[in-house]
Amino acid sequence: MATSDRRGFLKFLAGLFGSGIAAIATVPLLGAALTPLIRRKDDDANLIRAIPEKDLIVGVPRRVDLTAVVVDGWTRSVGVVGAAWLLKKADGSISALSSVCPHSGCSIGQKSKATYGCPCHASAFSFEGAPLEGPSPRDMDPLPVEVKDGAVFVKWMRFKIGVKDRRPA
Amino acid sequence: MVRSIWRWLDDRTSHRAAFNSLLDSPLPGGAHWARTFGALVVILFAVEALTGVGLALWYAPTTTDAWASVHFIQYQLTLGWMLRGLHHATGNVLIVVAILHLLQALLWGAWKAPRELSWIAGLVGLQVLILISHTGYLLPWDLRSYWATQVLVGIAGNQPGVGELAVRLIQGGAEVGNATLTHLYAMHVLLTPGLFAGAIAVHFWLKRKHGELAPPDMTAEVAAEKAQTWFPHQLVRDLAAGMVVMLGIALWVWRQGGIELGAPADPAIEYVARPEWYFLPIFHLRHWFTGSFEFIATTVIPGLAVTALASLPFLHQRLASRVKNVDRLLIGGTSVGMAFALYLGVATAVTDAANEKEQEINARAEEWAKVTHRLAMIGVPVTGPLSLYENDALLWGQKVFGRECAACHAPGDTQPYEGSVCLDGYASRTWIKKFMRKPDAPHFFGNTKIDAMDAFEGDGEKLDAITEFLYQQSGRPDADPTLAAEGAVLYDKEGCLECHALNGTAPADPEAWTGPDLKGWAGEAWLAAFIRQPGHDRFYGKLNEMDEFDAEQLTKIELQMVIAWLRSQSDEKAGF
Repeated sequence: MATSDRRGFLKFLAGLFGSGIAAIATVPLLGAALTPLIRRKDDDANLIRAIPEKDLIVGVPRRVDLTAVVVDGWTRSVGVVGAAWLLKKADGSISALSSVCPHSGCSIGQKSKATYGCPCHASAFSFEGAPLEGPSPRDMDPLPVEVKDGAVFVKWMRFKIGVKDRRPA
Repeated sequence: MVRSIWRWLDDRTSHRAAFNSLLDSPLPGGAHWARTFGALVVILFAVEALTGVGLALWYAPTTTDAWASVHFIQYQLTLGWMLRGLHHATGNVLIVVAILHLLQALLWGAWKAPRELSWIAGLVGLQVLILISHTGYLLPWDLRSYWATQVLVGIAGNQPGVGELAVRLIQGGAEVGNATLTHLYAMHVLLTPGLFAGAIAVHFWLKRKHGELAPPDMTAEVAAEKAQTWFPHQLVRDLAAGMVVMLGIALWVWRQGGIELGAPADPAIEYVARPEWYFLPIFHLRHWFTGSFEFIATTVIPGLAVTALASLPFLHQRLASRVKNVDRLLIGGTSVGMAFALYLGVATAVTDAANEKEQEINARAEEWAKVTHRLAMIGVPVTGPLSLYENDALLWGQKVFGRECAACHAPGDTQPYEGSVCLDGYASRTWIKKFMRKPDAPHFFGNTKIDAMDAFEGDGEKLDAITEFLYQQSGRPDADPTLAAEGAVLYDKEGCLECHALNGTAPADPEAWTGPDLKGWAGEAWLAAFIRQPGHDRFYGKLNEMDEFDAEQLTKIELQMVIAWLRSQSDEKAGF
């Protein structure tokens, strides 16, 4: 074998072994680092028990903190995951609106006897969630709501903020 | 394009010349497998750095989170078990390889002038390597880590003079806690690897300055004739060795399914703690030097050994003119020292392997590890892994029962039985039958004030039916409704009803109390009301001897857990 051939072969072997070592260390590193991309959590949010139905008065909105089990990485705790504005209508049906403002994600409060308002950029919404003034690009986000065994259950969801079309975040 | 960028760069950095001078480093005597140890140290250290970054992305160094995050790495991350296994195993192999490198340098005479400093830098590197490894050993915060940390802190504290200061510094305060773990983590990922990289840099710099040695058995002429450049001849050997070692490690980790994670650190759990293998000699020496002499084992002897190695070049120079065969003397001395260390380590391993009591203790810890691994799959409570039992109602109930109830309601196999009513198998069919046949047995009412209840003397069929009726009261889903209905009739006919009403309330007149009301007996609501107020006239009234457990003594959730545990009692458990 000519010297240059042998040298080329040795270089090839060195490349091969070097890549092998790098691969053994890097593959598990990437597996761990990229886990958030590999395993996306399914949207399996459960209905959260919010408030007894009898505590809601027709026409009077009420802000309710939603408490649920929160698994954060390796820890598990019970905590507030979000808040909803609940409103019982004259026909007895109940609606739930997310308290997260669709504009910049601030927390929506009650502004007047007939409106909600966001303190960050002065958006105002009707109790049905329609924007009345301010920069909000869309209606307040409705949340799925159910009444079971005399209690109001709400499904907590987050939506992409700052865009016109509503889609889950 | 690429070429012109390289040229532009090279005009400014001259990296090509520097690089080529590295690649073309002359090796007298040519490439050699014995030269691969040094390169292996660098390769394995690089693997540790890479896998370490992967672990650091997910690890949290606090007492509440450390074990939980390692559990998360091990069981929830893609290939996390492999990542942690590689990091652990490679770290150990790295120390072995570093020791082999030291022995090879010893045999090749790499410590002789002018390479004394290179030799010493290597020795320092080895010490630092052990520090890196040991600080890493403590991070998972499982039982092993916890007890090893206690030992470390104990050893540091026993050093004369500086001991207590050192302990406060390592712990980051008066106790082992969050600051201790954070300190160890900073030492493991920043301080010690930085020092090690520094030691390697000095080592490498001096190697470049003084050049490579020829193998010791080769004359200068032969060495010059056989000389080769480092690239590619030695490099290919270095990388081949690295590949073989890493493949071996990866296969080993694969077959093991990763490196184990013990049960979470818990001062209340017994565990036989042993240090990593490289500390076993010191561990053994500590049996010989105890009390205030302990520092001889932990500091003086290892210190002397390292000092002897470090002063080898100077000793050699002094002795060379006076002693014949000085090389043999020194190599012989080193061999005896190594053999002694090996003996001490092996002696510990052999003693442990023969100790059944120790094995039993660790087998129990191992069982608990399995339970905690299962419980942690849904997340560890924010209060830390010691609250993991809260993830399982029955375990939680058992724990509360052990704390609040077991002092009186001890397990029924205690002989002679001196407690209150035994709750093993409580309200199972077996328990009910045993009770009705002999209510004054020592494990039932025998040791209480209650002596008015007659034993049931009817035939077995009647007993079965009444048992089923009572069993049904507790709301257990597997009760047979037909048999229970028969039992309901017999309950009245056989006279049970005379004393045990089925109203679910106290009698209107307290004087009319005859015995506990059994409506919904042993069911969730019955037990909740009973445990809160056992002396209520609905229950044991004036004959009650049990404490009342109000919401302060037993929180609502704890009450629920105890009830869940009581209701989980089955026939098999009524084994008294």
